[in-house]
Amino acid sequence: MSRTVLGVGVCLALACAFSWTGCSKKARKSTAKAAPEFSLKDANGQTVRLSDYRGKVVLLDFWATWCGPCKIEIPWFMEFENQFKNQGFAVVGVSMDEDGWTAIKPYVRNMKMNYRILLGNDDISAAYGGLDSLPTTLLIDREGGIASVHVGVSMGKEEFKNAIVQLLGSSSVSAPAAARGALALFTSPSSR
Amino acid sequence: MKAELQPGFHVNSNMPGDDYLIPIRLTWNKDPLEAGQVTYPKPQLEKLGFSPNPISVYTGTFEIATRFKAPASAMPGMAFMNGKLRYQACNNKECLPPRTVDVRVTLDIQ
Repeated sequence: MSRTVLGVGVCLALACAFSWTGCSKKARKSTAKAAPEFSLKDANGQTVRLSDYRGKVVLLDFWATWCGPCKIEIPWFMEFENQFKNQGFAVVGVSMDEDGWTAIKPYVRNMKMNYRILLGNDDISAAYGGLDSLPTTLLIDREGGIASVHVGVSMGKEEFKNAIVQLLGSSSVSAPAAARGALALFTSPSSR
Repeated sequence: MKAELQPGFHVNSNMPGDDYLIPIRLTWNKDPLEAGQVTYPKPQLEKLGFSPNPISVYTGTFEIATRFKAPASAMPGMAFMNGKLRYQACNNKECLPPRTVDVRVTLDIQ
């Protein structure tokens, strides 16, 4: 014989208010603050540091396989990698998947991602402000300074592209020779 | 159990229809009562920008039901069941990290 059980009930609010504030953080610009250094592993176990990219414009994308909106931007970033990689530009994707490479590798294969993917951790999350929302994308200039931060899919492909072109053309100090050639090609008259 | 999402957000249903998406999942501890089948509500199918196929989600307020069974030896009166709810929320522009929250229900054993 079983006894009767009556549920008194419980109520949950699932999307917390502190997370909600992430939605209003759109494309704030900072040219002064240095992007925090990190040391992460790629799929081959090779250690990669942000400082390895000094002299290049970097699009640093924090993403995850479970993040639907991230999937919108990935093809854009693949195209940017193809288009600008010989001009002193690199896309670096940092996956925040808890399941690590088991989750990431099939996804990368499936999406045919052509840029470097690193596995994120709590340290990089803390260094970059907690990463309460994904995608979070930073454009980093050739000197390692944060040019802009984009939380969520906050701007379109062409806006991203224009921002990259502007950064590629905005510095002649540390740009390698190949990139300096691109500087003449991509700097718009209004930005000189 | 009643859950409420902020406007604009959704959570994946228990069967989101995409292997990469994290399903909502309610689990219960083994005692003091025995948890039976967890019944999730009927999801909504939403066409979102990132997927060619509709995604199975919950929005707004929804309820997840569980039937508990008390052993004959259980003493009448109030009891508590503890469990965990794992979910992952997004809106159409961004996603919040997956979370696992503790849940507790108060039950009246008669």
